[in-house]
Amino acid sequence: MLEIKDLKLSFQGSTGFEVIHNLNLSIDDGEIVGLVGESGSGKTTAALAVAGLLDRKMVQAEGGIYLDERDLLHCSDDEFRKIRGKDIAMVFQEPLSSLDPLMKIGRQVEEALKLHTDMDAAARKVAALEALRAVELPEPEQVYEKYPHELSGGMCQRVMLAAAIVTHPRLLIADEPTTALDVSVQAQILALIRRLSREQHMAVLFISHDLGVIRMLCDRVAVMQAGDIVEQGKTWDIFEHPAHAYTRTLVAEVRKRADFSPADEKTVLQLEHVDAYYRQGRKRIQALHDVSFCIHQGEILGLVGESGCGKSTTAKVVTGILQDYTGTVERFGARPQMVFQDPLSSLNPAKTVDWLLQEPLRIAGVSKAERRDAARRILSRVGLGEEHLKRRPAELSGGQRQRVAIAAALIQRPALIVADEPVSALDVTIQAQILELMLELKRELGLSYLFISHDLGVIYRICDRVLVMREGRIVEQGPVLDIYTHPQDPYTRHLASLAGEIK
Amino acid sequence: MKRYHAYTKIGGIISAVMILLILIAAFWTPYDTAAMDSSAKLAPPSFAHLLGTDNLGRDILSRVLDGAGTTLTIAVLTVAAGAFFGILIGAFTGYYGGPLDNILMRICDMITAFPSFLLALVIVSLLGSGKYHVVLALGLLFIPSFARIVRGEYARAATQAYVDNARLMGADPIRILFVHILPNIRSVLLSSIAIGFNNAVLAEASMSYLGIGVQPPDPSLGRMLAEAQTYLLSAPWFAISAGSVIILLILGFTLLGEGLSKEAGRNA
Repeated sequence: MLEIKDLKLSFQGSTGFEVIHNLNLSIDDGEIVGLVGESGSGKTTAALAVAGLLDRKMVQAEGGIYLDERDLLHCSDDEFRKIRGKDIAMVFQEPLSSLDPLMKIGRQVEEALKLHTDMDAAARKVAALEALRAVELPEPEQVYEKYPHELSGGMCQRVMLAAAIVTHPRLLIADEPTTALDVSVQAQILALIRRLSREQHMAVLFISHDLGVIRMLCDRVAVMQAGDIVEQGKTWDIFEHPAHAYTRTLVAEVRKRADFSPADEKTVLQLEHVDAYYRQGRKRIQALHDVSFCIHQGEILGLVGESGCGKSTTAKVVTGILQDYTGTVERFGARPQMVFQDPLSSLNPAKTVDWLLQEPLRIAGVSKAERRDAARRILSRVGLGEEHLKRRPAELSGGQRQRVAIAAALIQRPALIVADEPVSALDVTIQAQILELMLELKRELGLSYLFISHDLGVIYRICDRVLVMREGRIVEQGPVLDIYTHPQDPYTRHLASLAGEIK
Repeated sequence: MKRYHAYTKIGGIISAVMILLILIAAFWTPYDTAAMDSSAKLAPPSFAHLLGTDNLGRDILSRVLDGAGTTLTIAVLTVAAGAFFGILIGAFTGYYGGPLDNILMRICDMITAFPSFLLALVIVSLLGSGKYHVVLALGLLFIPSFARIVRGEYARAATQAYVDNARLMGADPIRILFVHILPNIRSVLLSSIAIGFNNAVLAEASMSYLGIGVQPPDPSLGRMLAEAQTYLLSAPWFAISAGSVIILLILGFTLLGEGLSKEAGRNA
């Protein structure tokens, strides 16, 4: 149905370079094809070329893209306007920024019908409501009258899908459509895309950096690296018998399971019957209900749950940033330190790496010479060199920043590090390097972690035990394998059914 | 490599030249500022007197530079006082919030609610006019605007993860406020200092023009402007000289302030 033949794309201009070298890909009716690769591999550029959204003055294209024998690469802009939105529809990562904030949902869904059909207003409304129903939005008549800001992120993504399928397109291009969503919402959207594809015989080109997601959804996968498809085939084959070296590392990242070291008997943290509260204006809201758990030395305890379930509040109670709680929190050893999701905001932007690393020791009254030595030692321990000392956080890459954040936490010799989504903002390969570093430090220093994540794949890879949280309560806890294989609580079962794909 | 906005460069050059001239004038002027030359009253600009002479035959160049010195001193002291107390109040109220924040901000509201000039008049008429009373009056009036800007920045910073991180290091609140957070609001602060400086120059000139500011024998641009008014048609260079110096002072710092705030916006 869609056929991409020997596609070559290069950016024009003084710094012109080739982004896509030689791309061959085809998609049949009702088939879902995943395009996976890290950022910069050219997957989005390829998708934009199929959708005719590349500026022809800027990008030179060779080869051919055919939709039912129609040559998309060489048709005029006017012809393409008739195809896009009608035969080819797109869904993007950020539903909120893709929707017009000042336009009611109904009108946005009807937009494509207005452009591509001669339906009258009443018929358009019927079709739009049908599309909203098809994406399983509750009470479509009410959603129809709402504005995007009145809906949640997951609902907005459903609206985007409704707007995309309202014209019954032949091909849906979905570019990281679930990356910004919570784990359970993510699963619902994936199931929805699958159902729509089957029911409407719609081909789907699904772009993601997340192999776990691709595996749950796609019939076939194409793996991209640096502008080339290095491997493609049936999803099952790719996962079971990856042929190309790059594919093998990607698959290994997803499956790798940290080697288990039996947790020491010594406890570094003990929480008993903790209720915690936070303030919102004048209101005091209870965020944690009767939370009890402990962490042993050298153990990585995972904490999973949707956003708003109390994960970050737990982190704040453990580190002592949040004081408003009842129950007992016992910390053994040096004060727990934290590694945050976004090192750009957790590292003081006005200071250099050198200053940031020395500051905790400066506060503790360590002499200048010792401080300098300690900073250099810890920096090389996390894999950075002295040339990074004089840089500010904004002058480092995402992975380097997270290394500095880990170094700044380590330099205080804590027994426990609370890591709040430490790799969520990073690329797949950088993610793997940071996780590897954290595991090394655990083995060498006997460090413990409370590892907070919504990414079940990451939790599965590095944690010994897992806590599952929902609405401020711990609904289940146990060794990571038990939770994945024999989930007891219905919510955990739901999570595990998503994660089952990753094993 | 830091790239400066064109405004910053031009403003910086104007301000630097003005400050240099004023510094030179503090030690040496072409003529004694009080020396009267009865043979050359209201003489137009010439090589002997580059900007001409005033109604008493005094050299205008020497007098405007001297006056600008007074104005600059008052502006610097005023802004220093306003910024110092403004940062102090803004830092604590913004970071801690709560009832203290409410009380101090309502006091600031009260001060801002009055036209500032009127309030300065009241203070000066209570204390008597003179150089340091002007500084006192204006300094007090400048506190709220600094406090408000600083408070906003601190309130925003207080929710940042790097502040949580500083607490985890065991940094005490004073250290967090002034070592960790303050450098991050530097650019916002610099541009509001530049703007505050302009307001101070203008306010001092206006008060002296009205006769409630700097008193003789201290020279003052505002008072010179008032004297020059009488001779506006017969000796326009008198008023133009005094006015231009005020304009140049303000122009330099306005451009500097604009440039800095544009740079701050660009970096943010």
